Amino acid sequence: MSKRKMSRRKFMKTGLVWVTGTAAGFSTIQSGTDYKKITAVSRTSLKPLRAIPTTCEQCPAGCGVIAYLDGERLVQILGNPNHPNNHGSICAKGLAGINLVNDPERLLFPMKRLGSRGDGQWKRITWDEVYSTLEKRINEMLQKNRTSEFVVDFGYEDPLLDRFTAALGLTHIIDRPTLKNLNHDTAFTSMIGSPSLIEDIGRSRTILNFGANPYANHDHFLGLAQRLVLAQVEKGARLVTFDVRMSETAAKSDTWYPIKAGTDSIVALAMAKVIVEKGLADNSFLNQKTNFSLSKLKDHLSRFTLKAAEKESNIKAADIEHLAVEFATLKPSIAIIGGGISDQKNGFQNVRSIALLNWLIGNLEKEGGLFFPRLPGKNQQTANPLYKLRPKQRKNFKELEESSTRINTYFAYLSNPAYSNPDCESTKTFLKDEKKVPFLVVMDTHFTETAMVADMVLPAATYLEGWGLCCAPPLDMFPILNLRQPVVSLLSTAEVLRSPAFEVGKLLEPSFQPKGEAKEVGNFCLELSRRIGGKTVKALPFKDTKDYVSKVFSSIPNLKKQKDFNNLKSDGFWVDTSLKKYNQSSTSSIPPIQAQKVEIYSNKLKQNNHSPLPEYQSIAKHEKKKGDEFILTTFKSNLSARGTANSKWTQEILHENRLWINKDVANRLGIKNGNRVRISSPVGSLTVRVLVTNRIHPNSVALAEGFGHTAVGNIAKAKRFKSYDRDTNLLWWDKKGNGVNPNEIIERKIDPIGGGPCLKDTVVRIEKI
Amino acid sequence: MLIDLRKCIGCNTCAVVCKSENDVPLGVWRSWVKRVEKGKYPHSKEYFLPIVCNNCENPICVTVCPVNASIKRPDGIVYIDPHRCIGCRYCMAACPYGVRYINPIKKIAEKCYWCFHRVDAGLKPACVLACLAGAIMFGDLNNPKSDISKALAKNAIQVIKPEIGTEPHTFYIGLDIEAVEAIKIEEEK
Repeated sequence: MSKRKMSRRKFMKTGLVWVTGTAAGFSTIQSGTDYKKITAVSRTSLKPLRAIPTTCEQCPAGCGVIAYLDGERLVQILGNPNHPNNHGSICAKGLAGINLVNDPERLLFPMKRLGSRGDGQWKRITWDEVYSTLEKRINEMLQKNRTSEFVVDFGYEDPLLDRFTAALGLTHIIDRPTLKNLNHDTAFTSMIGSPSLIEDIGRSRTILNFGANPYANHDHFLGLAQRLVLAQVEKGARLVTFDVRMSETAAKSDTWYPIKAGTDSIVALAMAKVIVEKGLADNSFLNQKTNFSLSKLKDHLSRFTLKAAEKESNIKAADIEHLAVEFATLKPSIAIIGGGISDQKNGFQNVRSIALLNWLIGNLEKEGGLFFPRLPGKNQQTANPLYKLRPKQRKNFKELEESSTRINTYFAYLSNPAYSNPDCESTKTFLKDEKKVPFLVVMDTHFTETAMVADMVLPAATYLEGWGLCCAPPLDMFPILNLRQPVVSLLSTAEVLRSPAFEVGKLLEPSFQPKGEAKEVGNFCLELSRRIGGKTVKALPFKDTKDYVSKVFSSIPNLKKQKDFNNLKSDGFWVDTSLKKYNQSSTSSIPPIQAQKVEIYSNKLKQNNHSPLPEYQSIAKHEKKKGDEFILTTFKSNLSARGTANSKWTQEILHENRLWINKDVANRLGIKNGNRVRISSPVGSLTVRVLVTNRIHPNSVALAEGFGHTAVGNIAKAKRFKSYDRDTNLLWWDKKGNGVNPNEIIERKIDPIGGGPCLKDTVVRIEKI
Repeated sequence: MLIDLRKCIGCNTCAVVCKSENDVPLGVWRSWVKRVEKGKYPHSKEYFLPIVCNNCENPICVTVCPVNASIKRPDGIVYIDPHRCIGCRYCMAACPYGVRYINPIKKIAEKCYWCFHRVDAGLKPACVLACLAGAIMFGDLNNPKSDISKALAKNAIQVIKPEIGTEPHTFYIGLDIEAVEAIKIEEEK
């Protein structure tokens, strides 16, 4: 007994990342007068609604939200007015959480495949059967020491799933949130040792935006957009956007420069040359905090003349020059980087070139510049799933497919590779092949494309139905800890019967499922580890997810001093104010830069025979491109997320993606708005309707992501159907269709240096049909 | 209500929060965001324009209603009494802004009434709270000390179709005349 206690205590010390405490300090933000009361009334009964604070997980921005319940039913989600990131606002994706929970087409029971893969015949099974099947397979792998054959693929990080995979010693982990930004993350890691920095955009005066779209889609979406709006409108900040198409951010920018795809870095380097040559660079920062001196930098940049940049990028030399001067003089200024430039074949170097602009004006740990993320607790690197330095063994799908390693079991959690992987048709074929993937288990909220070819499908609880504790991006340089708690219990018979939308007649219909058995992935891992036993169960000494959350809670000394658990439950978040806000001298307490210099010159890249300095590399296939060929760029609207694919409210606004094409080009090709065209790439072709617009560069065409589902649900497929939700029978866009999935024609290529996907540089042909 | 279009980023949050707050069925809207494209490449521009009911000072819909179902409250909010409405659509034809619709389930006319169930409880309308950028402001125009009165006094403001004389109470900052023209043309079609 005592031995077990010891081991647990020891574990708590080493395993729980928050255990290492910080110096004592008391919250100044939450205590005091500006605490806003949280109330809402029912529209029908005018009675106050029950309010439960929780955290939104539709995207990684970590907004604090309040779920409002009318009786047991979730009726409204609004922002938490006290949360320091979103200040009471919410976005359409967050609201679509209501649809996600109340969706009549949710997967509610564990299912087993009948017939051959992809037939779509399923049999309901018990959780007991699920556990015993998986337990048998895992034990077999453990005995033969072949845990490397167990592939875990997740679309959203879960700490207990992480622990479970670590305890089993799994090596095949496909970490989608990391892979998505890999070029960006590796580029920043190569320079400053941290994959991501906080952009203090709200205090900047000049903002150069290279391919980012903070007004629609960003990892820190809501909070960042809010700060940028205030900076623009109330403080008069100047926002300049370089993008191939007019994104929402470009539309709200002071100037939009339509740039030729893949040439952002030469513009950035030409700007750097101007800044260096005019003597506008921050000399002391370069000498003291970087490993490359100004004079050497001058030599390196001499090649990137304004003329060369104009020729490559189609942006006028005079514009580049005056922007460079503005950037270096109207400080604080910042250059921000988005997926538009990092998801290219030259993405890694693109990111490094634009980051160089920031280093030239000494933009590290400065107001209105870039900051290292602050996290609760001293152990800054590992505390936050969003910012931790990634373990090396994580693989991407391409490597898995090409390697000859045997796969025994493939477990996908909230991940839909058969839809979201580039060249998704071949992914589907791979997953469908029983020789390559003998056993495929999918845990998701809906019957996704991947689930359709799976052997076993498990119902996952949505983020509004479980417990969690995670760090929010510290946009104001205060570490924030968010609590996620269940706001709706998993659907039960009683609740369905009580639901106002319920009709008695539906009870007799065979398709109506009155009872759900969805489970949180954490609870699933805990139960599975208990069945497997041995060291796995020792690594997960928790009763359930709530137990885990409360144990993590009690291991954070500062937090424990300020709040008890019930207090945290009623607030929904906690701000650690012990770290000072803008304190340049205290950066040493943030591990990635302990006395370390910004590596403009990277020895590691030199060793691997890559260019060690920020460099412009043109994309060969773009230069060979012919007249009727275009560079396909994809983008995500602010209504598309994994959780909104089957959401009636967001799909109603945006259910179809059209191919953006420049008006002059369309006239030349004889294409009119709304015409159908065939768009083909080396891996496939699609038929899609055209949007003829003035808002895109003539070299590029653009297609939105997140459409053209062939599974998930009837709303995602744009089909009208009857259910206990009256709205599903009012679906009106069934004749318009649900668009196309651009992933079908995107090549599966990676940037050879950064390792990230090249989603935005496929060359496509367009034919009128 | 005052909508600051300089701050609007076209995120559709107001349209979705209205659906959940007021239980609006699919196919009809009380609030939505118009997108208008303008200009030639590369000097093109895109405008976002959120539309809600103007709750006019001189509401035509109230004048034409044959059963007195459309009522202007003393505080200026125009609402429809669901127990009186017979769904005759006179008000829909009369409304110059096209903000009314027939609820496909209840078959009666409905529209945005600035969430008066929330306003009566001392809260702000749902779209005002939800707006990501804080672009929507709501308050008492008769109180000169309210935030909205101050903002109206400080900024140049516009309304949609001022020539009709309805005196709309939804004001805009930064409304582009050509963007409004584009909407008018679309409506005429």
